[in-house]
Amino acid sequence: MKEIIFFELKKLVNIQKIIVLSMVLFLLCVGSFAIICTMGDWKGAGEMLTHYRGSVENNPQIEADVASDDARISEYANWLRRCDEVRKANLAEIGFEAETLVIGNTVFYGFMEEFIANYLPFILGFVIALLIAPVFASEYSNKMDGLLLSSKHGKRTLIIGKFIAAAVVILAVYCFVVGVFGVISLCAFGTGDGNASFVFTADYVYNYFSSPFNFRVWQYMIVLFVCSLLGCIGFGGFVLLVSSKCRSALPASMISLAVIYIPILAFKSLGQNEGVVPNILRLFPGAIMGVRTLFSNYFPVQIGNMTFSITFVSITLFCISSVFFSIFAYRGFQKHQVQN
Amino acid sequence: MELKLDRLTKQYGKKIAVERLSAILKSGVYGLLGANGAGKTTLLRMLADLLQPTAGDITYNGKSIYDLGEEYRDLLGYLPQNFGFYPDFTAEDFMLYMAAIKGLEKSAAKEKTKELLQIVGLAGQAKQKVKTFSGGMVRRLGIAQALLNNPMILILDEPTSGLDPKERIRFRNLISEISAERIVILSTHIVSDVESIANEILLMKEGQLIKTGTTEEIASLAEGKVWSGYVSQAEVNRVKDRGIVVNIKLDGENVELRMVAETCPFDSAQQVPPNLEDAYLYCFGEEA
Repeated sequence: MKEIIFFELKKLVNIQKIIVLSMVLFLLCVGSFAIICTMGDWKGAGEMLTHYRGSVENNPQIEADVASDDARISEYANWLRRCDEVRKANLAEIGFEAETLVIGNTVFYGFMEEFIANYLPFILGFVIALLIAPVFASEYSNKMDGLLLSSKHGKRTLIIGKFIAAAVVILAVYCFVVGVFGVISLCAFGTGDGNASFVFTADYVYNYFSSPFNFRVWQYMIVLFVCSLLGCIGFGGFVLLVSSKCRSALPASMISLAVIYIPILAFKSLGQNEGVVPNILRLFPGAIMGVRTLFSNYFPVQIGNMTFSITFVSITLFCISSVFFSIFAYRGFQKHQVQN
Repeated sequence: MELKLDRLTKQYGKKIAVERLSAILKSGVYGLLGANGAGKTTLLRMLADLLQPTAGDITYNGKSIYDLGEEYRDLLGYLPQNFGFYPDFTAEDFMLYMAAIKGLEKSAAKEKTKELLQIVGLAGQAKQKVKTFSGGMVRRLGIAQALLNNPMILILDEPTSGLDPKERIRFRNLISEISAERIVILSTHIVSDVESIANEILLMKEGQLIKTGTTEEIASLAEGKVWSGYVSQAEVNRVKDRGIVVNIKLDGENVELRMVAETCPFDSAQQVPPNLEDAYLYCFGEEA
């Protein structure tokens, strides 16, 4: 099995590809960082949040600042208190008990989240579609299918080897991209306060107040990484399925790119988070890779008399469908009839 | 060791590629001859577990090859008519990769790779990338990979296409050497490739086996139908339509003609003993 995985990896990537891909991905990470920097007063937000540490409730600094002569400080302190109250009220309305917001400098986490939500699906979607599409399809176009499928392990171990090689490539690319962006953000802002409430990651504070997930920011980061990696691997499973059904890598890449990009673009163009269409779009790999909209607010789905959170419905359905994609991809190659 | 084909049929839509084909193959070299579209490649693909028959079954020692699965494929060596290569693989990489898929241990794979590359004359190119190889070299590499697992059933589809005469002779000798206690099925258009080494010839036409037998038995199908003699150059065009021309050889003012025809095609023609090529042309006529 080790030899098969080694050679499958060799087929997917070579030294030249790795060098070029690393450079392109590095530039994309730097570019994404630069774009996110231009989108808000991150330095100011970081300083302001660092000014307030601990809980909003009964925070002596906030209490003192409310009465400040400086209008900006007074307004911001008031706003923080209001945020906490509104969030508690919103959550109470939908039957959740909210913890008091813990505040702190979360700019690093905000950057990571913004990157994973809005940039990672675009970058990794493209790379995965391009790198993984040839796994099965190129065997057909190379006319190697006959040789492989007539071999002892061609209909089982080889396919598993191909799956593992694809997963290794996805994992490596994911770690590289997130790692590079993480290091850049870390160098720029430091780690900040990992114990702050996750809904307080820099940009959330301006938008959402009904997330039932009482994560700390560091916990949220782990959830974010796991879910987005799951999204990448699930998408990889879909690409493998398409690859097993296409006669060459190009159409497999094109179909995969359409499946990742169209829902993301549709979601963005809709400009709304609630409703049937956004909930359907949340089932596509791009949404799972982006993750944010799954945790930012409470989106209920009514099934009969029962109410489910779209977060769990999406992740569960995605996991189930990813398993099916992989099974169908496996069988697609295993049952392939060599005719050309 | 017995490979039994029982009323094997493969149909693509309305087109029947192989129709109710039955045969019993025991150890030895089988030459599969037929014109283009006769169904040879489809038959070989079904034998190589690459195509599911529409009807019928293939059994190895009494068990269906589809039930045997991995166990059956472990006995197989297969060289397809066309196969590609991986641009970044050297000949050695390719062999080691195929060895891994065929289930060979790493050390055995290395040893066998070295030995087989030597046999097919590619030892000096083991570290060269396959993309730099000529068509003949790729073919030789294909032959080498087919022999990696010491197969009991060797299926070779057009193995000598692209090989130069010296390589063809080397290939024929290799097949003869290894054919004891194995089933070797060799499909080709080149009659001389099977004439000298095949124990049995299988003639296929329109998806069916029309005749099986030894080289001599098949050749005898054209007994009394093969003619040879000299005609003037001016007469050639007139005579040509009276049968199938096997050979035309210019000899001074005259032309030596060898033809397959039901009756004597020209005055000076004499009956000559038929060979496999004559029988092939006799059976397939214009299709050939």
